[in-house]
Amino acid sequence: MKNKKVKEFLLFGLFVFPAVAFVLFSTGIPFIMNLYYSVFQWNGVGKSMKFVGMDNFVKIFTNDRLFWRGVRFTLKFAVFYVIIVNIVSLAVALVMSKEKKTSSVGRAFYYVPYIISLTAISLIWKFILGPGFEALYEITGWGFFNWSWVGTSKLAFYVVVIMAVWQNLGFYMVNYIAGIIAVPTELLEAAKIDGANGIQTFTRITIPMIMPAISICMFTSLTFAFKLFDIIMVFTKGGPANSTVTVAYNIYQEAFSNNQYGLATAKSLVFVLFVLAVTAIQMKITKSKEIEA
Amino acid sequence: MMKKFRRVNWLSVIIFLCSIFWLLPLILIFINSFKPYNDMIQQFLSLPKSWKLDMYVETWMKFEFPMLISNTLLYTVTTVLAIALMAPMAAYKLSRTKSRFSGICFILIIMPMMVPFQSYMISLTRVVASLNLSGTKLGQILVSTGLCMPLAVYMIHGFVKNVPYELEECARIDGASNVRIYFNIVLPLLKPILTTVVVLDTLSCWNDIITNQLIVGGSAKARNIQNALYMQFSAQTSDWEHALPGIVMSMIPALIFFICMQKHIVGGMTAGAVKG
Amino acid sequence: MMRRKVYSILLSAALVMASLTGCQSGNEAKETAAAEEKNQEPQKTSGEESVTLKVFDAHAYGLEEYGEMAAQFEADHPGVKIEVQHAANDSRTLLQSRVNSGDIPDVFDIESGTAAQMYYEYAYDWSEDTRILELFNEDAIETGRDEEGRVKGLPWTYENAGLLYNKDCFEKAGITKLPANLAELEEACVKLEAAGITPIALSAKDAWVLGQLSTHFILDKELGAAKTTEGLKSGELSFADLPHWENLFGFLDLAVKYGPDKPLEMDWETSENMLANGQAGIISMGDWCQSTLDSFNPDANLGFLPAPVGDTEEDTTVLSSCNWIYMVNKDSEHLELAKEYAEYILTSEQGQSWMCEGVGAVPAVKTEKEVKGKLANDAKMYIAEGRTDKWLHTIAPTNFTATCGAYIQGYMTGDMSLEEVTQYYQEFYTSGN
Repeated sequence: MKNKKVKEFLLFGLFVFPAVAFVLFSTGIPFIMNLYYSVFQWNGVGKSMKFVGMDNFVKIFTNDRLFWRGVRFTLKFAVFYVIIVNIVSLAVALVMSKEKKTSSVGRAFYYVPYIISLTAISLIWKFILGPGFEALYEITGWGFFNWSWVGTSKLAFYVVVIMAVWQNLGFYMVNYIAGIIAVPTELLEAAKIDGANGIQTFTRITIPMIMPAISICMFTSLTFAFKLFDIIMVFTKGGPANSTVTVAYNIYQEAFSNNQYGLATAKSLVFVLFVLAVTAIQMKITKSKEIEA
Repeated sequence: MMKKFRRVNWLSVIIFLCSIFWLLPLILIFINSFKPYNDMIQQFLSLPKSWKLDMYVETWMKFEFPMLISNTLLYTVTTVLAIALMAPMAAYKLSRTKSRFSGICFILIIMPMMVPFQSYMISLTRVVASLNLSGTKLGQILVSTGLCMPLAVYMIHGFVKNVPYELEECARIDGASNVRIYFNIVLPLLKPILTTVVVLDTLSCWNDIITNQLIVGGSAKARNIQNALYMQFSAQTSDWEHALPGIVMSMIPALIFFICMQKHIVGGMTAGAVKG
Repeated sequence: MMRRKVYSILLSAALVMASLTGCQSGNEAKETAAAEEKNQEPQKTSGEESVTLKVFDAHAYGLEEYGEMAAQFEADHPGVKIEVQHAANDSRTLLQSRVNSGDIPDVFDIESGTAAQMYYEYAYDWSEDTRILELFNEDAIETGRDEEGRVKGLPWTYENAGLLYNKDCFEKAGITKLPANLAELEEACVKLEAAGITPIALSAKDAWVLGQLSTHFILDKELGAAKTTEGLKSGELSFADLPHWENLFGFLDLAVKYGPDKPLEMDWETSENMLANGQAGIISMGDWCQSTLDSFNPDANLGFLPAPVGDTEEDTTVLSSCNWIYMVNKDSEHLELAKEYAEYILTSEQGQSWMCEGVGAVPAVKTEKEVKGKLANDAKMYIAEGRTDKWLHTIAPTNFTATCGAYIQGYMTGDMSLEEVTQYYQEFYTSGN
């Protein structure tokens, strides 16, 4: 009996521990080191650190306008992004999974942003929103082409959302396609025979059947939204007037521009606890739905 | 009949038209890679005056592209192989084992998905340095494998639930060992999701800048393509004349790979759907 | 049972890490001491073996000349290989990560002032090397001195920051005299606009440009750059009392009124391009962008427009500093070679042509060489007239340009009032960073 347990544990270790080891090496241990740094004042370079106890945390909660602004932005972004990207990519996936002949090419199109390096993407967007929109405005005369999209605090938010959706759509699309194709055709045909219309089959059969895919997409889109950094770093730089500073960008600035590595690690801990709470709730919700289905 | 045909097309047409918007960057990058710097800023949307390949040749020589490509290829292939070996194993076992310890391991693995990378960059370089791996190719491979692991395990983990348990049971009754069951029965069934993961990780390794900067930044011999190109930019100067041809050249292998794999994703996915 | 195991694993991992980091700092201290002792040992005994000198350079311009210069050094020193990382965009992040990975470059450069302070403890002290120090202009050497007066880095070139203008545009618009105050600036703007030129194209998308611009209006010429900054940091001076501070907002109003349609979308690349092509009359930048301007239009007729911060011509300023210093890692395995290389790039004939021709800037080293950059030559005139002072943004609290530039963006978008910006500046300076 005992032998079997040991054997099972060894087997478990053989399968799981290599992955765990890699994660510990690249994230786990650095994260634990962050716990340690978070109670120090350290510029991230020098040989000496000053122990400050909970001061960093106190500072975050009492005197850090920009961090909380970043939290608000990130939350708002997360709501918009998660909803929009999931709806749009599901719609695209529905079409792409049907049109077998052309869909291969179409799918590749949606994946293009993944293939292009980020520096080039920021260049492209700069010109699309600049001269591109100008030209469109001259052709169409539609006012919104003439708005200062990147130069206005409110509009910059939508630019970030649209860019993020644009950039990542392909990923979610592939996941949804995988889910949709796995829906047994007999089920759909049976529904059709029973007289269900398109919307009914979609909500009653397709949605419950692709719940695992939805669950994956929700979780990954949520964690992506919370960690949003790349687009801010290469494109808006947090501007104009700090209106697009995200938490991750704020942490980065704190660590590398303001040289407050201790404070930056403290911020990341606060934020990770928060993200854990939110994603735990989200996972609970989607998990319960999955079981229902 | 006619009516239905028209309706399907209508939605598809919109989606396909939209997809051009996703393709646009590719075209814009390509046409601008032939322009001198001033023309690029002044007339970004127009066609270049000439289609000379001078800058491509110059970029190829200047950046020692053959070396960059072989480095990038090395990182990408090893990382993706390591992921393809370990991630499904872990995901499978974690999904099948219903103990508390297994749950903790799973959370431990996917936890990094919730932590902004920027917050532990410095700590990571210290860990890498303490193992004497800074500036080495091995260090780069280990770190990028570790960073790709969480998403890979997470995605496969969700998929394993769809794999019927009965098949395994049958094999077990026939006396097959656990390892054999995994490699002969489970792994082939995981192919669709594995293909997706492989495509995803290949593209992200191929385009990686930040890990390469952090881990091998100082060592010219270990740089990858994007990092070498990225060094042409500063707060005050941007060498687009070399960067854009470089980006186009770096994109070609990724594009070819993607188009090839694309078919496998479709094929793999329909094969996976047979489960019934 | 399982649970306890997990906890113990996690706990031991944490302990190991804590001890690791603890040991690390301890070891480092020891290593430093040891390295200091053997500092003076001759390093070039291994002449036959190949030595790699690791160099970190934060600039991405004048690269060809840099390459030639490094190749020449390699040719003069058989067996020595120079490995340069040109790390322009995130140079500080990268240098920081290299220091943490224990891979400190043998020679590296960093912006002088606040940013350089963090690295002083890694830097070789040049104070004793008077032969080398004498090669440089005295005021340039000052930028590399720490609080105790030790020389921790050797200066690179002078960089001048201010407003740039297109002389041809001004001529076309019929402006004969450079504006010396805001009223005259507005007149000039009207004329430029009438001539179909965008009068002011501030690259307001880049917060750092605005932060730099604001330093012209912070400077109290009576006190000078260093004293003004000290006064503001200690709280003895307040922004409301600064003689020219309010004019900053007058200037920004003009920049919005006479600027491009979407002022906050203008980035440095576009603004420099417009200036070089005669589409914009005035931008805020410095002579470091010479090479970019040349690549847009080598024939552009550009010059410095001393910032009209006050009422008279005497008040107008071009700010000039040696803002980059090269440090040598004092614990370098090849210390003597690293020192030689630093000296070589900053003072030798090849080094001077890199700076004068490749970069086009006035070197900190005393030189007779002609400087190629038009802007740098233009600035000389104003510097000779005394319409200059040192840079303020490099000695301001950490990350000044980005932090405060964002406040100015807020003013330009209308999100913030004059009073709010003033208050945030005040808070920033007295925050003790």
